[in-house]
Amino acid sequence: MHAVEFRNIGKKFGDYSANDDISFAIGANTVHYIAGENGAGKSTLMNILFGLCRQDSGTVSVFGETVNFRSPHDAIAMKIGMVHQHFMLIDDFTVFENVILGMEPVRGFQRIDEAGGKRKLQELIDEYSLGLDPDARAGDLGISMQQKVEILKLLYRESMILIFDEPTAVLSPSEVDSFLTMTSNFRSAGKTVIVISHKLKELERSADKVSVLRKGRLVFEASAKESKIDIDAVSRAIVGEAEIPKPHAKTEPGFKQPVLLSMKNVTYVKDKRRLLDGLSLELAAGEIHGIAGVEGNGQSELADIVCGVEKDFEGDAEPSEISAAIVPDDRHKKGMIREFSVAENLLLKRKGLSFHTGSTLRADSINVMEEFDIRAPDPDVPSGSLSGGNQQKAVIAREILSDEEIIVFAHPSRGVDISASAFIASRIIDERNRGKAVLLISSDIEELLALSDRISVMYKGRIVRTLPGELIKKCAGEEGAEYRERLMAELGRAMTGVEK
Amino acid sequence: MLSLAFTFALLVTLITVIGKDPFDVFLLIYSDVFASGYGAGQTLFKATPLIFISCGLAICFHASIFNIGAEGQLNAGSFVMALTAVSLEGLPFALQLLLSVLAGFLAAGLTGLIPALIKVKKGVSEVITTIMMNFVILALVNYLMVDFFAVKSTLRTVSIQESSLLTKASAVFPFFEGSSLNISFVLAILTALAVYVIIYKTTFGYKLRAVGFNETASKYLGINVNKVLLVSFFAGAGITALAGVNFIFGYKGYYELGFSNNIGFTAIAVSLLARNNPIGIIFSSLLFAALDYGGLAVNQVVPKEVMLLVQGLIIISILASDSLVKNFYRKKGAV
Repeated sequence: MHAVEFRNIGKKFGDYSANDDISFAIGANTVHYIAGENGAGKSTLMNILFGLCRQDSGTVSVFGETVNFRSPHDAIAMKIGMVHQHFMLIDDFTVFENVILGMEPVRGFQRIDEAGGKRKLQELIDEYSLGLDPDARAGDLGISMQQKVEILKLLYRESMILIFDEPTAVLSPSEVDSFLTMTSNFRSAGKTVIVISHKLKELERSADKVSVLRKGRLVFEASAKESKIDIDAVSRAIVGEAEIPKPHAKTEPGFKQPVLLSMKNVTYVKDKRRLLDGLSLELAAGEIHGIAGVEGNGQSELADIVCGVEKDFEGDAEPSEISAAIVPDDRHKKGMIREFSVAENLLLKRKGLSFHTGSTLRADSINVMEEFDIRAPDPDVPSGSLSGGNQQKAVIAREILSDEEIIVFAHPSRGVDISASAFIASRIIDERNRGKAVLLISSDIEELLALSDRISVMYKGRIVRTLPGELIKKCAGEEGAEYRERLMAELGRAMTGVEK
Repeated sequence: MLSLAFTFALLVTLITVIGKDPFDVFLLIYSDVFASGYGAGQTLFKATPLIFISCGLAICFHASIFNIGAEGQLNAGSFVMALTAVSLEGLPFALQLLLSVLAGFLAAGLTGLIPALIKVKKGVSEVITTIMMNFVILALVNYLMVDFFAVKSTLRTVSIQESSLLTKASAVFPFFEGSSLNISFVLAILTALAVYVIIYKTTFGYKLRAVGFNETASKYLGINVNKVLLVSFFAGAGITALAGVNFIFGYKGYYELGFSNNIGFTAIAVSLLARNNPIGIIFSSLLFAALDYGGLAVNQVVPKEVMLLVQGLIIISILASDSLVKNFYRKKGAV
């Protein structure tokens, strides 16, 4: 029997067809991936399944029964659960309080049955080896642990269909491994797992079946039953006729140029926590210096110091007045003013402007939008209405045009689709070729290996290992494949502090 | 628009319920507020301080500073303005006016700077500190007045000489005969236009709005957030003092305790009603002033508090319909 079956689903927002006659089935007890570019209609389809919005036409059936969800409440009653990209936890509640919220175990007259609830929670934690402490405060947990709390919520509600929206975007390689193991555990336990993802490597490893959406239509399906899923075919289906642009080539020589920034023994303490602990780093013109590491090991603090937002640190920095352009890790919070128009956002760093007039602004912005392939109907639309990839390109455009010598990119391709991320990679390389010093912070090792001239690994606020450029060059190309595996494993170990 | 219609309908029902003919009431409002020169003049006169104060608050609100302290700020400013004006008696009028206004602006601005500094340095919400500052300032002014500056057995300062009063509108347009409307109204309109240009057309206004929308991002964009907060708090609070120009130079010639009559709080609603747009503030000030004066006009038929009720209803229904509209667009735009 199918866990979910979509029949001729159609959904329009104004004139725009988000879903157009989509029909496919998701088998019970499988791991089913849904792939596609940003705006291809994946999230809309899942929102329909989860009762967050309603289709204009077509039907959805769950375990053979046609359903008509009015709200997520109805979907949850049918044992469907969803982990959103942005977690919905209450920081000040404990894990236990977060999990039971909305489904509190009661004893007597509206008294929360703490003992009984915790027993059930512990059983689930043990069964799926989640390694969570029910009494920990949710806000104190790292991202991957918070994700586990979200998962635990679904398990506690005995969901049989688990939907994940971009679950691995924020995870480190080892966390990704454990996430994939977890999904196969869910399958063994008889549950159905639906994953929305851009990550083809992960899809290859764990999907039983994949459905690819493009421009609101179902364009490709493949199953791992007879043979392995052909990843090239999937990626071709995702981008359609448009070719995936190859990243621009690097020009020689690499760095060896003047060192623009040198930090020695930098320590940064906030709220009594040593977030940077004797960090030393050099950044030269014409290089891409990759920073690898599991999130929360001081990378964002390093970025803040390099771009001059945080000045309150100890240690030596040369020059002492650091300034740099930055493409921050969280574009909504740090990178842009969503209420401002695209044009206004592009202008935010322009210097020497006393009055700004509408017409020149507009003309300028149209040029920039063309150059950086920012797809928006008009420079005057609120930037918050653009898709994630286009927002990111707008932030990158503004930062590159700000003409600083140093540019920090923090997770530049997070949550961005294949063609946008290829575009972004090319722009990063262009900046390096023009002699800028690039600090590239990422938890995606593939991205780091593809772009960096050297890679430093951060662990607990310091740099524990630096891979020189020669090693990285060695693993480019086919013959380096084996070497590359070894290098990745080595980086992975350094990131988790196994090797010092 | 919808909200105004809704308020109107509620008002008609209400007047009918208390046993009066709504038509009579509206006729009175029309004849007294709009058709009479005195009424129209009084409405514009009452709108003048509202425009000044609301424009000051709009600057704060755009920077996401929720300044509840206009009442204290404008009293501090007006008090100092009146004292300066009296002490500068004898100087050429233009100079006397300019210096007094400047002194008032500084006094009000400094009153605003205190909560601003506490916010920037210690992270204390300005909502609390500005409310508290109201009590402090009003008590302080009260003390200074009673013990030092007030004319015996009154609660007002010494008057400035007759010749230092601003031109009354009725001197130019006899239509406004008897009303206190004076040239400060024009000054208020000019202030609104200037504030509009500052907020929407200058880089400072641009930074100010950026900080208001997203403080964290502004920091990453290299904007000196603290400076923007301090400057906008100072300037916004300072502008509220201009309300004193209307009263001191345009009307009575002196500062009097209680002259502001909580107008500093009404201005919050006026500014919000106009979504903090200074041009809109001119109109929402006129609306509130008309309701205020209209209350006096209809007092013989229905209690004047009815007009207060209307003000409240308008604010509530506009805020409610605003979020309804927003939700509607959000749903439509969701992908």
